[in-house]
Amino acid sequence: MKRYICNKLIYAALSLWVLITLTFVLLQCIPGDPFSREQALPPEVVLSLKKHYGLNDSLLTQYFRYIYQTVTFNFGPSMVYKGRTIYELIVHSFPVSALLGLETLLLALPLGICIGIVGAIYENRWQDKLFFIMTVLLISIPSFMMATLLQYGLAIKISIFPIARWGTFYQSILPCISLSLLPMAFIARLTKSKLSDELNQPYILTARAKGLPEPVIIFRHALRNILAPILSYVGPMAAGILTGSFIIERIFNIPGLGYWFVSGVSNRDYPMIMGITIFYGTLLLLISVVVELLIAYIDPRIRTEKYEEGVDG
Amino acid sequence: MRYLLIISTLCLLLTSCQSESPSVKPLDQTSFIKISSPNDPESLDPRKVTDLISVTALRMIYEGLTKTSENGLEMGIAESVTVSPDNKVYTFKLRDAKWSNGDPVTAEDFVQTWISVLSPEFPCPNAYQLYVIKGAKEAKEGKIPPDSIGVEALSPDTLVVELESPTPYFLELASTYFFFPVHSSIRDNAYHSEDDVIGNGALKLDHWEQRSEVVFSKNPLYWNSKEVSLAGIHLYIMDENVALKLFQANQLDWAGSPLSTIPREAVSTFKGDQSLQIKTGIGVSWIRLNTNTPPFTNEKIRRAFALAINRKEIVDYVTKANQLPATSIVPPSLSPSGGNIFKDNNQEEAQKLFEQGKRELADQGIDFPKISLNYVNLDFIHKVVQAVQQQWKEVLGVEVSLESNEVKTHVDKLSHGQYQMGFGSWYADFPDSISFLEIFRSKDNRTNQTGWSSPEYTALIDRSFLTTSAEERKLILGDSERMLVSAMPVIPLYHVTYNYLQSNAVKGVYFSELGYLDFTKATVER
Repeated sequence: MKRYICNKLIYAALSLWVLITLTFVLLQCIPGDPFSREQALPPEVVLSLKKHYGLNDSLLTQYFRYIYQTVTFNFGPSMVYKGRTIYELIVHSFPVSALLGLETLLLALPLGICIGIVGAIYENRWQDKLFFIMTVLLISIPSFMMATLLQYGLAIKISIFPIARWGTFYQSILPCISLSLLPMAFIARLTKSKLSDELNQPYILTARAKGLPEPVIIFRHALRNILAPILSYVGPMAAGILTGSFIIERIFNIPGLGYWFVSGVSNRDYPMIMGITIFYGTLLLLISVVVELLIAYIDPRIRTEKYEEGVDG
Repeated sequence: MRYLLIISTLCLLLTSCQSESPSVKPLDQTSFIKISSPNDPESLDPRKVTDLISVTALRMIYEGLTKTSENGLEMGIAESVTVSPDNKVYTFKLRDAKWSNGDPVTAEDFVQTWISVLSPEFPCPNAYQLYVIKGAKEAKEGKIPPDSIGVEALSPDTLVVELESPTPYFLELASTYFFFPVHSSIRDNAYHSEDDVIGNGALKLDHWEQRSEVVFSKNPLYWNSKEVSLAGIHLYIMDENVALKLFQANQLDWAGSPLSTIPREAVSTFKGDQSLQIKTGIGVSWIRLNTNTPPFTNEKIRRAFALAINRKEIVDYVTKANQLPATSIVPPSLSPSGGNIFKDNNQEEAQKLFEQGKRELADQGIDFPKISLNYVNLDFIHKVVQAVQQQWKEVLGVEVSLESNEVKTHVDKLSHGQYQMGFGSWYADFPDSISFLEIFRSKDNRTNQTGWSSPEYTALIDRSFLTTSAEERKLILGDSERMLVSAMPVIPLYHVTYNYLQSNAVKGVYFSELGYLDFTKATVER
């Protein structure tokens, strides 16, 4: 198991290196630089700006500087927000995105699983039809559309919730609902289809024959076996919503990380793009490692397989 | 599953606890003016910024030697100024002003700030705005030491500025943020914290919460603080659509220019509403022509494309925000030629010139090529260029293809001459026609980008810098504007306006033609 974890971490580090290199190369390819604008600057002024930010050094020097900055996680000041370091901006805005993401996850995951279970229990009855229509509807409505609808209906027309901004729990309700409906519907469908299959397995028949009560059959036996595929979907989804949804943040004016990523690219703010890409990348890799370990923990079959694989390799 | 539920309950409890976070205050604070912008200010160090949001914030917390208001030019930190007979040496007498931490504002503060801006190592994008000072350009280029430029602090309250050549607009220029002094704590520290900025203006920085709000409160140490009745300003950072909703819900006092834009559709919705204000600015939207590649090497073709446009129609039915159809480069209020240099929508003349131009090109063995117009991928620009495209097709029978790019790519293409026609605009840095006309003095001016220059035009602009007579200067600049328009390296479309929504509760805000807001004399009554 230890060796399995080590392998995973080495792969993660390698992927990170590829990410850094690719980002660096792509940044050199996109046209424009942080100082280009319609009101162009005289050459000596551009030179002093480039010198200051080290953009006049050779590409190799710049590349190794980025590697060094990644290792120390110090990307220096933003080229647009001159008085702020990238570290400061991430530390300030990531908790906001993470909190919203966590709320979303905590709403979507339990609710999705419960709805899925209900769907599986009442398979082929009217509840099942309703379940199908609802989930298809929720999966097809994009989150920004849902956000605009909720904002218009519940905040502007009948003012139950605040229109926008961030800071109180009430301000987080609408963005949280808009973000969670789609993953919730997806999890519900996933749970339902896996659970229906599982409930037709012979061991469930045995359990029923033994006279076990239905809730015990579902929660203790069947559900445990289908958690692995659900977790492998939730992993990347969690990374996505923890790091912030640019559009939802924009609609509800939430000071999260998504904004900085997008504005970094359009402003050609090199340190900002590098810093946030690497932060996103690291987080995504970490979460996927954690999810794999969790799956291995939940499902002993996978654990032994992986263990053996580890020993063989 | 049980654990999951317990954890979720705990987390929800934690999030509700977060609601008592002390840094976030509720939206209503009656004695403050509440404004909004889509982005944070880039910085509160005037030497480092380029955007209007920062400039608006800077003008709250800083004051220069002079300042502009409804009454025109006024003295700021300087109490009086004397000018030498050759109009090259300005001697400012400073008043007894203080920084927000109690330090006196001295002539040395100005001298040291400008020296730092002009040192080749310092990253100041606007350094070139100081080139009117003697030796400034050489200093930035590293040819002379920065401390040998033409500024000197004779005593703590006497500042002498020697200019490169007579500059009739120097006192206006001295009111801009390029010339603001910064406190020694910011000058001496390369990465000074933005949360602790010392200024010398009517307001001071209270706190700055990134992506959320910047709060400015009244500065009791401002030299004229008895005239300031405002308690402060809340600058909320929010998307323009959110701002519009909050303005409609009476939770904001100001939306739109100069800090953000009102969505174009909303401008027509608000027409007739008292809160919608439209203010003419000193700027022009134009189409650059690349005079290095056919067909725009030919002056007649350039003129034909310019005359074929019906600007009135565009302003009335497309942009719809009281812009002025531009038949000059410089807006009429400043134009040395008085504006109206050519006739808008002159279809006959356009067709005639177009035919002649095509024949001239054919004589040189050049076929009329396919033409494309580059522009930035913003919705309202897209509508404008579509209208222009249609007009060219109707009048000249030319099919122009449209090519949109995001802003940095667009700028990159134009600056490398990889375009035929490019939509853009120019906003003056100071209220003088030279801010427009100097761009085309030389091909090497990086904002020119059209590849056009003319020795006669260069000579005229140079002469305007040498003359000391205001009338002669106006005549010279008038001639140069007419020369520029007849050569038509850029096609003027319309002179810009600023649209904004201002709550009735707020009075006395000065909105300068340059797009700056001044809240010094503002009042709030709720």
